[in-house]
Parts: sequence; C-alpha cells; structure tokens
Amino acid sequence: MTLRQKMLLMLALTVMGVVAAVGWTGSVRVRHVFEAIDRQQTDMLVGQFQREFNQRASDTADAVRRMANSDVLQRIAFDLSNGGDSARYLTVALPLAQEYRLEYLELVAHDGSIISSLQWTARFGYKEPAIAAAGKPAFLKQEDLPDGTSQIGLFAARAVSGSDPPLYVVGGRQLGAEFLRDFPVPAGTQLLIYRNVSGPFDAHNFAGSNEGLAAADHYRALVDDARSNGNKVERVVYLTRRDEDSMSVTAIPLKAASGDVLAVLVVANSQRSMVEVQRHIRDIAFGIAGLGIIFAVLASLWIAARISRPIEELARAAGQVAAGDWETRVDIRSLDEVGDLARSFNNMTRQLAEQRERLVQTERVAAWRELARRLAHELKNPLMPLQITVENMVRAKKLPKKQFDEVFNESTTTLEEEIENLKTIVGRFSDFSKLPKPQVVEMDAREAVRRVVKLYGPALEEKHIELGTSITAEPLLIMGDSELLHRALSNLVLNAMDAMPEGGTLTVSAVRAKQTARISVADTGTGLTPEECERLFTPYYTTKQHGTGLGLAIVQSVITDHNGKITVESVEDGGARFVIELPLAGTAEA
Amino acid sequence: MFRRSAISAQWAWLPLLCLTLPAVARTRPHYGGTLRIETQGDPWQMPDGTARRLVLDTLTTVSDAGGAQPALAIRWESQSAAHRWEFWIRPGVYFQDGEALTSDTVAAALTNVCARPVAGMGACPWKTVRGVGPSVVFVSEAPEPDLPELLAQTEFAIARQDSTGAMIGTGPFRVTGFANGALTLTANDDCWSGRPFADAVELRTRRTVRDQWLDLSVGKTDIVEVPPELLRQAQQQHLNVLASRPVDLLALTMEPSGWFASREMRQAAALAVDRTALYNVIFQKQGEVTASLLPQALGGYSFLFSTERDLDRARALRGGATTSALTLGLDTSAADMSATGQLAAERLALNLHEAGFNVQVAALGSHAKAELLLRRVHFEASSPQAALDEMLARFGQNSSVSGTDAASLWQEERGVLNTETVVPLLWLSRAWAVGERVRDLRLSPDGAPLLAGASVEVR
Amino acid sequence: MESAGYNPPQRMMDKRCLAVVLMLVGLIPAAHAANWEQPAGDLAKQIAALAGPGPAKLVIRNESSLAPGEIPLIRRLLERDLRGFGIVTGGNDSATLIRLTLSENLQGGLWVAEVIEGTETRVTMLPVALGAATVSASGPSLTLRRSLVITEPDTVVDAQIFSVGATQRLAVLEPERILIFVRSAAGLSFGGTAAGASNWVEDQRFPIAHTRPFPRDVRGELVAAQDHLFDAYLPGVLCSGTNTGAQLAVACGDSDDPWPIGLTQRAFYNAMRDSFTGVLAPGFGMEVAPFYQASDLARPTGTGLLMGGVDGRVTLIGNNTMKLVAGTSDWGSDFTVIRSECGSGVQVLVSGTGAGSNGDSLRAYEIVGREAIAMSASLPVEGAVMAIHAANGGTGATVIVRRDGPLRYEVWNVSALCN
Repeated sequence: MTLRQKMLLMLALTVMGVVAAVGWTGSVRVRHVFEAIDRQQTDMLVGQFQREFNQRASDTADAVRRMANSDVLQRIAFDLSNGGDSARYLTVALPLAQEYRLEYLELVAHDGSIISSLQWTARFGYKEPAIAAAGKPAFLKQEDLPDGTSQIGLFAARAVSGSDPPLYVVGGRQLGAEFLRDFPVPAGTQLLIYRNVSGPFDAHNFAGSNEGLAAADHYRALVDDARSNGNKVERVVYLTRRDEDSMSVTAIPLKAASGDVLAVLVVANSQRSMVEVQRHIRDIAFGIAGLGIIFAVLASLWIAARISRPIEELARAAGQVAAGDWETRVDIRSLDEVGDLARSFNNMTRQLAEQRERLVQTERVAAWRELARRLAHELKNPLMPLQITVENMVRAKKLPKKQFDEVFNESTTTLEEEIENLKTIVGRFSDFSKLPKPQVVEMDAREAVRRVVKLYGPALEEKHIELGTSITAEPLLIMGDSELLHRALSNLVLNAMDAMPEGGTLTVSAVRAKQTARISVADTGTGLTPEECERLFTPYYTTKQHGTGLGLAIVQSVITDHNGKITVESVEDGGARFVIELPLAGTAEA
Repeated sequence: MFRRSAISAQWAWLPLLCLTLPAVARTRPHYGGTLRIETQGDPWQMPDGTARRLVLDTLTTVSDAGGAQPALAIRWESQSAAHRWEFWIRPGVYFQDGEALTSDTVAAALTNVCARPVAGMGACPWKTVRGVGPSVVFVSEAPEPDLPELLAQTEFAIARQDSTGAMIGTGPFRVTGFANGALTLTANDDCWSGRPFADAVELRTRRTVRDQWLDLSVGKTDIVEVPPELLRQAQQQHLNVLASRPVDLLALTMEPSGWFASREMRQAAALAVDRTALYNVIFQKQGEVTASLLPQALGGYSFLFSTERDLDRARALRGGATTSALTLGLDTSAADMSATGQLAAERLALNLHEAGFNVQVAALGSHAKAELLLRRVHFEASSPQAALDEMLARFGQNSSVSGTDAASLWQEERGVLNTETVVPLLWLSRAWAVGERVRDLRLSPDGAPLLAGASVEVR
Repeated sequence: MESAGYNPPQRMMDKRCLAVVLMLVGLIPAAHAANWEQPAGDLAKQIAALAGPGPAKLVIRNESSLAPGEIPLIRRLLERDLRGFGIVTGGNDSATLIRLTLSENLQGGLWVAEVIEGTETRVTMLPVALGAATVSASGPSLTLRRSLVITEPDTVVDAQIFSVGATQRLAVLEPERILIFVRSAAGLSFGGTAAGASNWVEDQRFPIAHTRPFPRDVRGELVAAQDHLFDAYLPGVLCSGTNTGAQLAVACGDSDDPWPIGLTQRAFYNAMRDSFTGVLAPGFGMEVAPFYQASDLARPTGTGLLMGGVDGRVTLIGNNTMKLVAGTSDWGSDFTVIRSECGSGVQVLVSGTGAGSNGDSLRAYEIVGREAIAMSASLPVEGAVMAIHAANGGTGATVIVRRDGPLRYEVWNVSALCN
C-alpha cells in the first residue's frame, strides 16, 4: 500500500470515526430523550387513567346509590317482600340501566339469586356473589357475557333503601373500548385493555383503538408476564422487522379487591419518531462521512503534491540508485524536511558514486597488485630452478665434458621441465582469460557428476581417498554446457584431493532441491576458516602452496554463467563442502 | 312422587283463555267496515299465513273438539285400509274470479303444493291425487288415517293463479291492493261459506310487536299479536286479549351425530334443561311445561313424561369428557320470537353448561351447523292422533301413528322421545290483542284469528 | 272393504267442557251425579293385568274437571275392584305403587294408572266420559232457570221440541241439516245429568240443499205448523217437516217467503245481511226500519210487536204507533217474549253482555209503558248467545249459546220461576 493510499485511508477513517462518534452520541442522546418522553407520556396516561378510573368508580357508585334509593326499586322491593313474583321483573334492568346510564346491572335477591340481569338476562336465578360488597367502594369485576366472552367493569353494589329482606343492586360500567375512547391519547400512543385474563392469551380479549388492536397479537408475552407476576412490565415490542414499527410497551395489571389480576392495561408508545430521528442523524452522519471521504481524497491529493510526491521521487531515485544508476538525482522543491531529505539524498548518491569510483580504482590497483604478486610468485618458482640450472650449467662448463654432459643433460631436462612449467602457468592464466561462453543444451546434471566420479575414481583410490556418491534417481535436467561443468566439477574434485593428502572421504551428491539441481562435493580435509570461505572464489586466491588461485574462480565463473550459484561451507567434523545449485530446465530465468 | 310443577302448569291456559275472551256478541254482527290487523310473520306462509287463510280454503277444517269438518269437501271416504281416500267436492263453489271449483282444479292445486313444499312442512303424504268426477282421489303408499285432518292444514289450501298470475282461492276475502306496506283484502260476496261481515281487511305485515301495540293503543289498528311472554303484560295493561290453546311447542332438538351421537349424551343434555325457569320467568308463567309432543289437554297423558331437571344424573351421564364448543341455534320460527327466543336459548345454554356442556348460542340465522336447535313448532291438527302425526312429521321423525287410543299414542310418543333427539320444553299459545271496534272475533284451533267471522262495531 | 266416513263427534265429550269452565270460574256450584262403577271396574282390571295380586299403595290425583268431592268415591270403587283382583291397597310400605291420575283430554276423561314396582313403571289408560250441569240465577221478581238440552259441535240456529204422538222429538236446525233426536232412557252418559235434563239420541238427519250460499251469521227458525209438524226457515230456504208415522220427513227448497215474526205478521229476510228488511206482511201501514228480531208482546192495551232494530234501538209497534222503548241500552240483538206466572205474566228474555266479560248473559225484562224494567238478575251464559227463540208454547225460550275452547253450540231451555 502506498503512502498516498495509507494517507487516504487514514484520513477517511479519521473523518468517519469522528462522524460515527458524533452520530452515535447524538443517537444515544436522542434515544434517552425519547425514552424519557415515553416514560413521561406513559406515566401521564396511567395517571390520567387512574384519575378517570377513580372518577368512574365514583360515578358508578353514585349511580348505583341513587338507583338503590329510587322509588321504582323501593316499590319492587316492597312487592317482592310481600310475595310478589320476581319473574315480573326479569327485564326491569334494561330501563333502569338506561335511566342511570349503567352498562351492567343486576337486581339480586337477598339470597344472592339474580332477578334481573341486563348483561345476561338468561342468568336469572343464578347466584351473584358481588352482593357481598354491598355498601363498599366500587370494585373491579370480571363479568361473563352470553357470547362466551368476558368484560371488565367497575361495579358497585348496594341494598335498596328500606328493603327487608334486602334487594340488592349490582351496577357497573364497562372498562373497555368505550372507556378508553374518552382518553386524549397522543398520536402514536395506544391504550388497550386486555380482559378475560383467566384463559390462554387471545388477542380478541383486547379492547381499545383499532390501530392498537391490530398490533395486539404482539403483546402476548408482555401481557402473559404482567398477569402472571402481577407487576408492571416494560418492553420494546417489534411489530415488524423494521425498527420504526417498534413500540415501547408498558403493561400494567389491573387487580380486583382480592388482588387477582382482572385485566391488563397496555400503554404502547410508537418508537417511530425516535427511530426516524435516529435514522435522520445516521443519514446526516453518513452524508458527512461521505463528504469527509471525498475531502480526504482531495486532501490526500493535495498532501501528495506537497508531501508524498517528493518522497515518492526519493523512493524512485533510491530504486534507480539501487539499480546501479548512481547518477540519479531528485529535485529539491521545498525548504522543509522533505527538501532536506532530497538534498541529503543527492549528496549521498554523489558521495556514493565518488566512493565507488575510488573503490573501483582501488580494487583495480589491488587486483593488478595481486595479479602481479601472483604472477611474480608463480613465475618466481620456476625461475629459481632455471637460474640454478643455468648457474649449474655455467659451473659445469668447468667440469669434464662427461660430467658436463651429464650435468648439461640433466640441466637441459630440468630447464625443459621448468620452461614447461612456466608454459603451464602462462597457459592457465591464458585459459582463465579465454574462458569461453557456455554452449548450453538440455542435459542431465547427474551425467556430469557421474563422468567426473568415473574419471577420478582410480586417482582417488591411489590416494586412499574413499569416494561416496549420492545421486538421485530422478533426472536433473538443466540447461548447461557439459564440458564447462565437467571442468568445474573436476576442479572441485581436484581441490578436494589436494585437501586430503593423507587420504579421506570424498562425498559427491546430486539431488533435486526445489527448482534446482543441487550438487555437492565434500571432503574430509583440513577445512576452511570463515575468512577463507569468504575469499575462496576470488581470482588468484589460494590456500595451497602451489596454486594459481584460478581454479575456484573458474568454477564460480562457469556456475555463474549457468545462472547458478556456488557456496562453500566448512563441515564441523573437518573438511569443506562445495554446493552448486543449478536451475532446472524450464525454471531458469530467461 | 307427583310432578307438581308440570301438572300445575298444564291447565294454566284455560282460565286465561276464558278471562281474556273479548266481549262476545250481545248484538248481531254488523256488516261493513274494515278490519285492520298487524302481524310479524309472512302473510302467505305458515305458521302465520294470515292472508293465505283469508284468501284460500282447505278441503276440510278441524274443529276445536278434534276431527275434520267439511269445508270445500262435503264428505269423504277411505278405502283399502286408508291407502285410498275419496273427497267429494262441494258443488256451487267458485273461485274469486268466477271459475267454478272442480275436482280437477283441486287436484291440480294440491299437486302444485307438493311440487313446491315450504319450509317446516312435511312431505305430501299421498302418492297421487286426481279428480274423478265430483270427487278427488288420493292414493298413498302408506295408510293415511289422518288425511282428512291433514288436508285441513293451511299448507294444503286450494289455490290457483288467475289470468294475471295472482293467487286466488275460494276464501272469504280476495286481495285487491298493496300499498304502504299494507295488504288490502276485500270481502268475497259470493263466498260459499258466506260473505264476511267486514267489507275489507287491511293487513299490515312484518310489524314488530312493539309497533303493533303502539298502533293498537292509538287506534291505528284493530288486531295485534301478543307473544306468550307478553300476555301477562297485556293483562296488566287491560288489553282485550284472545288466546288460543297451546299450539306451539318449544323444543330442543339434537342432531344424533358428533357429540350427540350417543344416546347417553343426548339424555344428559335433556336432563340438564330447566323447563321451570323458562316457564316461570322467560315466558312469564304462560304456556305449559311439557316433556310431551302433545299438550296435556289434547293427549291427556303428558304428565307421564317427566319434566323434572336432574342435573346430577345429567353430569353422570355426560361423564368427564371435555366437550368441544357446541352451538345452539334457533330455527326460523323460534327466531320469530326474537329476544325471547334468544333468551330461552341462552338459558338453555346455561343449563347445559352446568351439566358440563360447552354451549354457545349462535347468532340469529346462523344455525346451519348447530348441534342443538331450539325450535318452535306449530301444529294445526286438533285430534290427538293427527296432532301427534303432524308433530312427528315436523320433527322429521319417520314413524307414523298407528293406534288411536291414548295408550297407543303414548306408546308411540314414548318410543320417539326415548331417542332423546327431541326434548319438548313448553307449550305456548297464540294470542291477539283486539281493539274495541272488533266484535265476535274468534280463533281457529291453531290460534289464527278468524277474521271472516268478526265484524266491526258501527258507532 | 272397510269404510270410515265423516262422523260428528259424540256429544258426551262436549258436556265436560261446560263443567270445566264452571268449575274453574266457580260462579255456580256444579252438581255432578256420576256413576263411576263401570270405569273403576275396567281400570281395576287393567291394573290387575299389570300388577298382579298383592299389596299395593294407591295414590290418586285429580288433574281433570272432576269435583274434588268425587275422588273419595272413585277411590272406594277402585279399591273395592282391585281387591277383587287380589290387590290390597293401603299399605304405605308396599313395593308396588299404583299412581292414578284422573286426567282428561278433548275426547273426555282419561284415567291413567302407573304401576310402579322398583324402577319399572308400567302404564295403562282408560278413557271415561264426564257429566253435565244445570244452572239457575235469582232476581228481584223472578228467577231465570236454564237447563242444557243438547250440545252440538256444529252451528245450531234453533232447536225445538215437538210432540209426535206420545213421544217427543227434538228438532235441531243447523245450516246444513236438520237433526231429529229422540229421548233415550238409557242415555249415553254413565253419569247421567241433573234433574230435568234429558238425554237425546239422534234419530234422523236431513241435509238441507240450497243453491245460494248462506250468510256467515246464518239464522234460522223452527216454527210449529198447523198442517204439518214444523217449518224451518233459513235464508232463502224453507223446509217442511212432516210426520209420516214413526219417522219424520223433511222437504226443503229455495224460498223467499217472509218469515213469521208473530201471530199475524211476517217479515222478509235479507239473506245477505242476516236481518229482516223491514218489509212486513201484512204490515202496519208504516215504514219499518231493518231489524234483527221481532216478537209479539201481549199488553193490557193490546198486542204489540217488539222489534230490535239493526241500529240497536228497540221499538214497540202497537195501535198504529211506533214507540221507542227506553232502558234497552244493555239489550243485545236477540230476545223473545215468554209467559210466566210472575209479574205481569209477560217478560222479554233478552241477551246482554256478561258481567265478567267472559260470556253473555240473559235477563228478563217487562215493558212498562215505554220503558224496559229488569225483572231478574242476569243469568250468565259462558259463551255467546247466538239466538233466542220462543219455546214450549211461549212459556220458555230456546237459547243457542256458542262456546269456545273447544267450539260447540249449546242449546239451553230457559224458563222463569217466580220468587
């Protein structure tokens, strides 16, 4: 990832983070505010319900009291106390209820049997236990109705004035939809009453606004909890999967005097407003974040122009330097740290070029010195016998001829040998300088190994060197020049033989390692020091008394020409191991 | 132990009948004037059929004392063990369009009736009917000893269509107009049974009882209906009330399938019903508590069928099974009782609930799938045998009454009631409140006002 | 081939209807004199067939119109007869319970015996007939006494007793026929009737053919004839009854002849309106309004014709004058003049509204000057008075009463007794 991308990302994340933090804070705050409003609204409605409830209880009790004192009921009571037929009054509850605006009314005889029932006329003769509450304050009561449903009502019971035996009036008003309809319920708020609490939950037992009834099914768990534990229950109810269709619902159980839950008042506040505000805030946050990202892009472009472009140029210049273009320079466009950096970079590349030049010259001098030293060293060795032989011949001239001849012949032989030796030295230097370019063809590296092992097998035996080979059965096809590789491997084997004058073990292996053919030649000689390992492949460097120092250089040159590499490592138990890695055919770099 | 409640109730209608008869004639009836009557029911369909009764005649009529009386037929005779009946048609009788009544027109009319049976009417009991000279011959596959009484039923009135397609008959009135919801019937001067005293009858139908009473109180009508439950109120209001003998049976029927496939279950339901509450309260001590298909005054043995409620036994018979929700419906006739029918049904549902049945009363007109049905069954026959036959037919029972003596009838009825598919509850009368202008109004044996015999007071 | 034709119901079953109402209304004590021997014996036999000999408990309840006083008698008779079959009643701890319900239906009495042994109940029934009654009512000067002559299920317009030699025959005029009854010593009823009442058995019946339909409120009159037994007047029809030895013969034909309304006057009858047209023959030389009823009224000043007009007014025509009679506002349309040994010796028996609105009533009046003065208390009749005709040579009246529930027509003979 580029610096520009990092900067763009960082800026965008920063903007988004800030916006998200602000949005979340606002949303939480809004939710808290709405929850507080919900609570207030619910408390207000419940309070209003309670006041209305008390008012209605008072009205009901008053209506029942007035009815119990009415002439009509006193006449009926008188008639009944004088043996009148109660059947005559079967339907008297209806006009009485209309007159006193009661929705439930029963006239009950002193033994508790119903004489006239408005709400369930057919229940005459059955017992009405509510007369036990005669004279007491109004109470909640569940009233069963002929259609199998139940309603909750506010009831009051009284004995008719002067009746002996008493004739009771049990009157009430419904605590249902009509009752709720009187409430000024704010928009989005539903007020429902769940009645008929005894049976399993049935949404039909709800009374209230149509809108509320449509959602009644969702209040099941709430109502069940409220009627089972008898306490207020608050919960958020989702009517659909959409957040705006959620309701903050409070279920308040309404209890009879006995403490039994008779109904559940459900106050449901729509969370639509809150969700919409939250969504609005979120939308604004998204908008700001979007703008922020655009801003971040633009800013990054500008910053790139100001900051990243010089750095990118520096990076590119550094790359060019790394690639060998030591003349690479960057423009200095500012006086800030980046400008200083560019200036320093230019200084650095200039100094590097100068130092490299000096180094090259130094190395060239050193090489020439080394070459001269080596050449002098190599030439000095045969020159000394030549000088001695020539001097011997000069001195032999004074000897008898026979002796002279013997000395001459012997000297001549020595001279020839030494001259041959000189020619050999010169040839080696010549060979190194004339090392040809490899003629690569596809070949099996194992064959090169086997050829060397076969060639030097007898010589190894003579020198009491044990040969160990480990050649994979798998073909190791490489693109190579078999002759050059043979020379390289021969050099390594010869080097190993030189390293083990007292005999030892030579181990040659050829295996496949990943995409390379790995050939190793290990000896059990005296081994190498780390410094020797480091310099071993330097031309004209040798650890031997009699070597040109070109053998391993030639090996390295051959291997390099085959796009391979050669390493040497010292083995712990003594000895050295040369490892050649050659790319397998088809994997070599083009 | 005596079943006091049933016995004490069974004659309750008699003093009522006597006490509520309107002032009878002390002067001869006057001709002229218009009788105005209001009803709830269909003027052309039974059990109301007020217009039908005025316009059409039957071959026979039934007397209060029981048995068939000559009407359009002057005599009759059965052969082949009551498989074949021959009715001689009264000569000199004319339809209201002047066409003579013949045996062929009678046969055609009766064939038409059978081709278009009306709700609540049993199937025609004869296989063929044809005119043979002056007589009409009925042939049936089963013996029909009650055919003369059966033919007195208003369903079998003789009607034909005139050239305009209107229904005409031989009765004392003919339809002459319909305006403002009132049917006008004009006296048939040439009626074979004598010209009616009133010149016309104005029949206003489908009026609620409340409206009828209101119209009577302000003198807008002369004759209005008094449902049984309002008889007491009518007396308190000093209305001039004319009540029939018990002619309507309020009964609970159970479909012998599903929950009530077992007789024990039906018996449990039958034992759970509390007739006394219906009689004492809902019907305001009017009618007759019964468990019999015949009123006590007709059969004389209805007290042999227990009307007692036995809730413990009902519960025991029902067992501990939990019933699914059962529906108690009201048939059309019971629904005519409107609120009272509904109230009675609700009371029965409560009774059954006490015995462990989960019963809900169906809304009016939705009793198609009701397991229990509260029915109000009307009968017209006046002899015990014919009445029992009629009741069995109306309750869809396949059996027919073979014997004529009370013991045979009782045996027959017991056999039917023991199936527990029909639970008779109350016998009810039909009653009418009559305005001061009306003179000599009497009721037919099945409680319909005999308007042709009534006259309007000329002041 | 068996045959079942239309037969009128037996009269006996109708007699109990009167008793029903009398008992329930309780105006006049009903006097039953019944013979329960036969039904008790029959029922005992039926019970014995169900119960077999042994001790039994007998419980009787009365759900019929029988007077409570008759129950002990029935119990004694039944217990006696049961003993004859080896069933001893009276043991309260008997295993067998015989529950007898004295019931009734439209056909008459119905005795229902339930033999209960353990959980098993067997039932036997016996139809029985019930009896009739005689009623009277006293007034300030005279007492009207009525006795039931006969009850018919069909419309009766007149009934008169004619002597044919040594025997009496009761002719009952109905719109469609004339029925001739003779007295029966044995009677149809096992219980018989009260003193003075008789049992009549149908002897002959003669259909009345008529070409025109009768009016709905058909009226008619049986009048003794000089040269034959009687004439029967019906709207548009005149029948003559003659004595042909042991049997009577009746011949009918269409006739528009005026009906006799007194010794000297005849009146034309409007068959369409059930009233006399007002045209009299020979007439009084004055125009007479249509009227329902007319009867000769013997007065010290001469015989007048008392007429009840269609307009409800009562007039007296005599000495070529027509006077409106006062005090007749309570009069019905039917009346007749009867002779008695009380008061002036001539009273008008008039129908009127009954006191309890459950029926009409009869009352005797005298016409003093132009005013009608009541001479008797109202004699209630539990039904509608349909016709009043002079009878017994003018010493009594035949009153036709229509009764409802069930519908039947009763023929009463009403006479006046001095207080």
